[in-house]
Amino acid sequence: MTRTAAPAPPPSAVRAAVRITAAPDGRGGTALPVLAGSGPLAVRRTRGPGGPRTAQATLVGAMAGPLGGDRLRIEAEVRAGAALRVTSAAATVALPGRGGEAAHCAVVLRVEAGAVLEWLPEPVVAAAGSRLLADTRIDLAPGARLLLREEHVLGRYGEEPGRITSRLTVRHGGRTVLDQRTDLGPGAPGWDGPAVLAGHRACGHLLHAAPGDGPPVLPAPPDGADAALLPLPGCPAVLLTAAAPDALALRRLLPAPAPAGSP
Amino acid sequence: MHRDHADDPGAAVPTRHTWAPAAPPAAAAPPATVPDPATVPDPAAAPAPVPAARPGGDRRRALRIGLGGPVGSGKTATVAALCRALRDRLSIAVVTNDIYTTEDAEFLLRNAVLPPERIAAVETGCCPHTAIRDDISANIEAVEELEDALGPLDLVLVESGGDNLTATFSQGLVDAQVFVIDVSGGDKVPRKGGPGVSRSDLLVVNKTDLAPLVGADLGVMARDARAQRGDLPTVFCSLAAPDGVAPVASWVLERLAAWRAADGGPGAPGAPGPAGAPA
Amino acid sequence: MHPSTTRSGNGDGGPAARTALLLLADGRFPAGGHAHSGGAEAAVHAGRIHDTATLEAFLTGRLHTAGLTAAALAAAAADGLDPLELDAAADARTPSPAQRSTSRRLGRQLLRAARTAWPAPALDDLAAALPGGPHQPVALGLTATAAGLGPGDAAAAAAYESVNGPATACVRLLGLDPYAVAAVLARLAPAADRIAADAVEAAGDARALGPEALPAASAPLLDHYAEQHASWKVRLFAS
Repeated sequence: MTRTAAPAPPPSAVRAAVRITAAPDGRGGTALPVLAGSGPLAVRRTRGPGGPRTAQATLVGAMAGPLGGDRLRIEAEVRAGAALRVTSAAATVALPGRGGEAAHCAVVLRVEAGAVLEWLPEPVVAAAGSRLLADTRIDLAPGARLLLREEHVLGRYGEEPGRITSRLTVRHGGRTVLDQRTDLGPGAPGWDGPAVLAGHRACGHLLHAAPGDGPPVLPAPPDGADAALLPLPGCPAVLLTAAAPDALALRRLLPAPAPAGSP
Repeated sequence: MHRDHADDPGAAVPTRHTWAPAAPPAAAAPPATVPDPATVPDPAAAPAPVPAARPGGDRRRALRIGLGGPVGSGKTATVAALCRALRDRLSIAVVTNDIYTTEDAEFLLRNAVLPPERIAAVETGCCPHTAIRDDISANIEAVEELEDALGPLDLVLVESGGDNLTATFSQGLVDAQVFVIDVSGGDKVPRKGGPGVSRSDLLVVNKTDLAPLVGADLGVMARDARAQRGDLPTVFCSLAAPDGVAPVASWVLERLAAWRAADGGPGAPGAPGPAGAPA
Repeated sequence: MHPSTTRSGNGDGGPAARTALLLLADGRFPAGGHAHSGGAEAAVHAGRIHDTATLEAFLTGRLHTAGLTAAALAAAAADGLDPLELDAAADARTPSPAQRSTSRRLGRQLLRAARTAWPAPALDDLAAALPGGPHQPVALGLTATAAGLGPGDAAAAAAYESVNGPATACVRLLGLDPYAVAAVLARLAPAADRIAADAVEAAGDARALGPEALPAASAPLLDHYAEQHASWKVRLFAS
């Protein structure tokens, strides 16, 4: 569905990729032997709240976008014993392309046993008229720790919604434990109705996998909120999923717990 | 031996789902006992001692009795009184079918007539008739899960959601059914008939103590019931009275004795083989 | 292995099996569905379904999300894919524990009815392999095969069920005009047929590529409703 190969992008479209590899630095900390951006997407090592063990990398967009037709790809791999936190400098705003084609954004994450990944970028916003296909694939080894937040916002403030079609696939020990696709925004059948978003313009989730030391902990959603805390089948992971009128209200429902490396 | 536990003691216990307060298997279960023969009337004297069809041909399961009747007639009170009267000598469980999931179950829990793990509630999707008659899946599962969790039971009572005079239990769900009406609904209820009044295995006319207050003529009710029911038994009782449920309880014990006799089980006189012997 | 002898090649059961499809898809088929609202009771409680228009919007969303996913799983099961792999794929597509429990319960109940109506070793094997119950669409697919039906029929039954059950629930919960609700379902019929066709196509992809090729369409609020509803002490429907 979202993974079928798209036709070649029009000449004006850009391709950009980021690759991050985190590995133990041999001194109890984490090194980033691969930290590379191409095209208008850059990545920098930054100072984070995670303490000396955790390396933080921040994604920085050097231009607006993605525009329709652009293809972004972000890969991160965290090797055994390393701890990586990834943030972004600003929200990603998907904008319409000239030909009405969709922008593609793929995120591929791999976390080895005994490694920690915190994936906490700012929201993805689909501007009016934009079409974004987002595909996030996560491969967790048994014993990997992950905290991931994805937030999708339909339309900038006061603007008509764009459309985001998003698929999230999580494999744990090679077994698919979560596979879900949402299709939100104008053109998606029933998206604004009572089964899907019911007037909300933002939705997202926190995914937490924390093996070995009891069930993963995320805050239970407040009463009356459109949110639910969902233990995934057959693996030590929970999904906190929420929908809200706007990005701010959504963030309140998806608060990240304290950084894994902090005291 | 209970059929679900027979032969393979290592067999996995089926997954339990969300009906009931999850039960620690039989932790609080009183020992299953055989009714005192002195209290069991002679089955031959009972008006209709033929056990109903046994779904699936199961031989070693509990007798299942359905209780139906209009809202407020005293179904839940009958169930509660039956449990109190019989729980010391029989291993009993109850499935409720209230229109709102748990109201009757909670009444039974509040009144502590049985330990919580012996009471399960099923949702009926606004259609209590359907759940006991047309699509009995949820009730069958609830009964089987109680039996799986609690071990061999003697008696499972299935209480329908309060409804009107047309409700009736499927033979696939229960072995016998009791229909409970009360005098305050008017003495013309038996005359109106309907499958519950005319075909239930036992018609209970409850709240006879109120008859003078509501101007109900018990003689008329008895005559009309006989006209509707032929030889099928009708009992008049007042659950508010001490031991008011006795006529219903002794009918239940009759049915149980007949069931066991037909079953060749431990309660049967001259049972042909050990408990759990195949048919 | 592949039960091609029991169905026509185009995945539609053909005239010989049409009545079996009607029986399987009949809301009165005793497979437990009557007590489930598919999230509609919670949506009604939230005030989001209150008339036929809001019901139609709800059903449209449900058909294109949970309906598509269920239809594709059912088609793949009827197409002979490994039911245990499909069951795992259904688990991954059902993050809500309440929905997983409901789906397995309905799968168990469907198998009970199906094994009596259309006895088949494949149904016995499925029940033995998954004593807690298979996910309902997997049971539906194998039931379709046992009934002499094909993947297209299984998908059509799943797509239809995904809207028919909640629609009936709303007639009962809200007292909606049954003619108006029948009209809503009639308007959705072409979309349900398209969903079934898409599901059959995806099942074909999954034969070559594995269950990951099956759709995973989901709706955030349906997940939330399922969890909220399961926590209520007082409810009319089981889901």
